[in-house]
Formats: sequence, C-alpha cells, structure tokens
Amino acid sequence: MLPAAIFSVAMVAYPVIRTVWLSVHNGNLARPRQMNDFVGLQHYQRLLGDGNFWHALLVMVIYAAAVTAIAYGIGLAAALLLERRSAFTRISRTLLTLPWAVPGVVAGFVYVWMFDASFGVTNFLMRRLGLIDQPVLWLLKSTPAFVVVILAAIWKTVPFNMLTHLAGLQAVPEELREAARVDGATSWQEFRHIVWPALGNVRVVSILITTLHSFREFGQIYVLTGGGPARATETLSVQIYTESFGYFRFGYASAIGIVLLIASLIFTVATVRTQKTSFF
Amino acid sequence: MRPIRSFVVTVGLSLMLTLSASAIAQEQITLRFPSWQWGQPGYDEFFTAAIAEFEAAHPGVRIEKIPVASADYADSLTRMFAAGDPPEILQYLSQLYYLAVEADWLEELDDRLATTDIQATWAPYLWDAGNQYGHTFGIWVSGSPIALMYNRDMFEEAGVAVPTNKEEFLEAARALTVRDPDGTVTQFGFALTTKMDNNANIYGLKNFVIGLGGNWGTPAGEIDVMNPANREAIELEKALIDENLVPHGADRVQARKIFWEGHAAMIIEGPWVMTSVRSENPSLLPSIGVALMPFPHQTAGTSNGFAIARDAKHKDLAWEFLNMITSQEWMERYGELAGVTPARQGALTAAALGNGPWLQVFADVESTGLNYFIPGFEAAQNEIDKGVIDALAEVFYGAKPVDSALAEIQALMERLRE
Repeated sequence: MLPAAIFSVAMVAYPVIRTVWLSVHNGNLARPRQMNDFVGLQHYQRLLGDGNFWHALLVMVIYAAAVTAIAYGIGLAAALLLERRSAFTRISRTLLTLPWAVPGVVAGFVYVWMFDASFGVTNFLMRRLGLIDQPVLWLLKSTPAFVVVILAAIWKTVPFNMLTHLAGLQAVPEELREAARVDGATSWQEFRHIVWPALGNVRVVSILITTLHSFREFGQIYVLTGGGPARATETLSVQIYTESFGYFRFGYASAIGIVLLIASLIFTVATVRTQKTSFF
Repeated sequence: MRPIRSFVVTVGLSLMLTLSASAIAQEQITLRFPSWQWGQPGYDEFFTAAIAEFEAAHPGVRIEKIPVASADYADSLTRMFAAGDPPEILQYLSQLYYLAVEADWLEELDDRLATTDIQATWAPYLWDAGNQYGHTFGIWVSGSPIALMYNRDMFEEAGVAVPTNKEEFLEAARALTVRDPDGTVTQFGFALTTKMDNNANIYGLKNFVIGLGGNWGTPAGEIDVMNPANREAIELEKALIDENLVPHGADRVQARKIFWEGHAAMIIEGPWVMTSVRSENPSLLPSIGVALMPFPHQTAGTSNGFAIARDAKHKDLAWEFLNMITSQEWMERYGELAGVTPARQGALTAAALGNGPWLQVFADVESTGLNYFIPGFEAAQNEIDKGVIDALAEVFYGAKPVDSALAEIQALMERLRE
C-alpha cells in the first residue's frame, strides 16, 4: 500500500500543491527577482476583472456542452444500432473506434488540412456538390472555426461514448426487454421505459468523463486554431498555455488552472450525485 | 528467503547497469543544439559542417542536433529553461532573446567577447541588438533583411512592371492573380501569411507596417498605434484578402511553399526563401527576381543568434563552438551555404554573391532597414503580436472596423507600458 500511496502523492498531489503555491506567488518568469514573492489573492482578483478569462470560460462551457451532448447522442445511437453481434457490426464497431486511437494533435493537423480555405477537401467537395460558390473560410472566421473545433472533438469522443454504452447495454436484463416485446411494446417504448433508465449510471460516467476531457482539451484545439481567430476558440486550457509559455506569467496561469480545477470538481460532485444504486 | 534474494539480485543488477551507463556517458560530453533550422536548406548544411569540424577537433565531445518546429521553438526553450536544464548550444529567435534577458537566463559575454574581434567587425545594428543594460548577452549571426521576391515569367506574361510603390503593388497583385472559369484561384498575386491563430503569423502585416512608415511605437519607445501608416498597412492587407489575391489561412511555411512551387507571383520575405527555392524547386530559380519592398521604407531586424545560458553545462565548450562559427572563415561559409548576409562585415564573399546575386539587394537593405521591435517593449513582443492578431482577425475576416481594432491595440500597449 505504501508504495502506491507515495506514488499517488507524488504524481497527483504534488503538482496540485505546486500549482496552488504558484497561484499565490508572483510566478512571472520574466521577473526572476520577484518570481517567488507572495502576492496572496492578487491573481484571483485580476481574474475577476479580466474579460479574456470570462470569455475563455464561456467558450469552454459552450464547447464542453456541445461536444458532450452531440458525442453522447451519436455514441448512444451507434451502440443501439451495433448492439447485435454480426460480422457487419463487428467491422463497424472497429471502424468507429479508430478515431479514439488517433492522437489529438494528429487529428488536429488532419482537420486543419481538411478545412483549409484554399486547398481543403471540404471546400473542394462542397463546391463540386454545388453547395457553395465561394470557399468557406472555416478556420479564419470565429463561428466556423468554433464549429470545426467542436466537430473534431466529437469525432474523437464518439468512440468512447459508443463503447461505454455497448458495455452498458450488455448489462440490461434481456428478459425484461423480451417481456416488453411479448407484451407488445414498440422499440421506442422498450428504449424509453427499459433501456434508457437502465443506462442511467453509464450515462453519468459517460457525460462526466466526456465533459472533464473537454474542459482540459488543449492539443487538438491549439493545433487547429491556436485559440483564434480573435480568441473565438480559446478555452481556459489554451489560455493557461498562452499565459505560461507566451507571456511567462506562470503565477496567473496557475490561478486560472486552480479555477478550472475547482470547476471540474464541482461538476464531478454534482454529476456523481445523480448516480442511482439500481436501474429504476 | 527466495523473494528477498531475488529482490537483492535485481537491485544489484540494476545498480550495476546504471553505474555502467553513467560511466560511459561521462566519457563522452554531449552538447545539445536545438534549432528550428535543422532540415532547412543551407542552414542545415552549414551547421552540420561546423559540427563535424568541431567534433573532429574535440574528441569525446558530441553535438546533438535537436530539430524543433519554428512555431514551437520559443515554447520548447521556455520549457527547458523552466526545468533548469537549458541547452548548451543556445540559438534563439528574436522574441525569445529579449524575454530571456529579462528572465536573467543568459550569461554576459563581455569578457569572452573582449578576446575576439567581433565588436570591431560586426554589422553595427546587429552588435547593438545583442546589448542590453550595458552588457552583451547574445551574438546575432545574421539579420533579417526583407525584400520583394517576384516571378519574372509571371510578370512578363501579364505585362506588369515590378512595383515600386503601394499602389503599383496592389495593382500588380490584382493583375497577377489568375482564376479558373469557376473562380478558383490557380495563381496568387501575392503569398501572404494570413493564418490568424499564432502571433508568428503576423509576419506579413509587420512588413507592411514598417514599410509604410508605421509601427505600434516609435524608435524612442512612445506608443504610436494611431499613426496613419498603421491604418494604411491594415487596409492594404484587407484589400489583398478581400479581393482573394492571397491564399487564405496560410502560415509562413505555407506562404513560402506556395511561392517556391510557382503558385504565387510575389512574396515579401528574407533571403532564406531564395535558398529554399534553390533547394526545393531549382528550375524556378532563374525566374525569380529580387527588388526592394515597394514602400517608402525597408525593414531589417534581427534573425537568429546565439547565447550561453547561465545554468548551462560545458559553457567553455559552447563558447568555443560559438567562437568558431563567428570567425571570418565560418561566417564566409555561412553566407555561401545558408545564402544569407552574414553579420560579420566583409564576410559576404564573391562566391556567395555568385551563388546568389540577389544577396546584394539584401545587403543594401541591411544598411537602411528599420527594426520592428519597439524600445522598452521588446520583452512583451509576443503579447503585442498576439494582441494585434486577435484585434485584427475580425477586421481581415469579418466586418470589424479598423478603428475598433486600433483602439484595442492602443489599450494593450498602454497596459503593457504600465
């Protein structure tokens, strides 16, 4: 037990403690003589008045909500469609799981090229299909760039949701579903009254992990848009990176990180409390 | 007893292996050399040759090449410094240099430089750029003279003269942009960096701003955002973008590639583009002409330089390497291989000019070119560039008024001054 405990403390607790420490000290690498000065809650006070912070928080919330809702929906639908075992469903499940195996940064680069305004395949196909006359400036305008960032995240996240629900569906008592069908229930009624409630805990886990992942997503967003254009896709994670490595303000970045951590904890507690101990 | 004996044997073997590896490592000294120029034509050949000669003269010393993408270079070095493990051979980009000085990362080189002829022989503006707070912290090995490179064949085919002012430049870009019947651009009039994500991609606008006589601050360090020349530069870029005369969303690498692949008629960049053309598309080289930027002013800043980190290991060896590559012999080879104007005056050889006659234009630019850095704001350049690109993204690709963007940049500069 002791080695495991030491490992947990070293790998988890120390970075958090260090970040809290940095958040109450100057932490500006470009001011080495003041870097370790204690500043109390100065960074947190600055956060409250920083429009860029609130904007990044809003972007993060919208991004997480959109990715979670859509990836969850598609993942659930895919799980229901591919529930029955056959050669087709086995192949389909494998193909749908592949995005999960692709590193986020690699996926980001692929999407950058797919949605390139001048040479991207998306504009090429849309023009060929007559859907557009002029190329769409996907990553150069705020709204389209945000859509692409969300799309790329959904593509990466659907496999996780599909797999968790496939596992959850295995745990739904088959006799209940058969009994419902024998009693004349439609597929929709079977889903609504048996399957959906039975997947309650899987749903909680799925939403929780997808949302937390969205909160901390950095690599894919940074490769796609760098948080631009005009901060349209700058989440708190991207802002933390910019403040740290762009401006050397590690203290302020740490304060943002602590706020993100607290937000994640609150969300986790609130979500876990909705878990039930039984199906119904 | 058996588990304990197994444990002891395992630990003992591990210790022996670790100590052996450590002993082997101690016999050889490794100097780490991260650079964004590994793999770049000309630069790679120069530094590879320098490393070979240095290693031959220093048995037991090895220089390790560490390629880093240019957009990630500043971040990578920051991580190394923050971890207390800076590289031994420290090459820096302009923005990072000033931050590194502020962060007290760099060793003062005054005593070491006093034993050389560098101060007496260096291009004055590059020597001065390495001096802060009365000390020299860095040696710039080349500047960043900027010029207009153009495809002569495209100009002749279109019947367009090489532009000499802003109006002619815009007209030339219009005349040289070729479209398919369905409106797809197959030849851009101008290869401009238009990606709005990263402060490194503000490069194109910077050249317009300086060329037209603007900047966000004056050489005396006063804020000057409302200078009419800044608005003029922004409006020039907006016209190029609105009329689809430039590739949309291109970063610096893509813009250069579009030019050297023969898909753009003009580009405003440094001499390294010619080296890239020679390497990537040599058949295009005879068609490329070089002229001054078609603006009242020219720009020539710092490009890349070297320093020694305070906390680096093997500083003396690092200095020996720097001393070697900044010598007359190696600066001449730098000009010949990398195809740039070396910082050491008189090191631009006839052979270099023979290989690249365009270098004379760049050398001329260096004597009059203006720097983009604003005195007193150098260390904040990253934040200024990011703020500028964030403020202007929706001007170039939206309906945001220029006045609104200028007001944001003004507010940023005032906050940074505080």
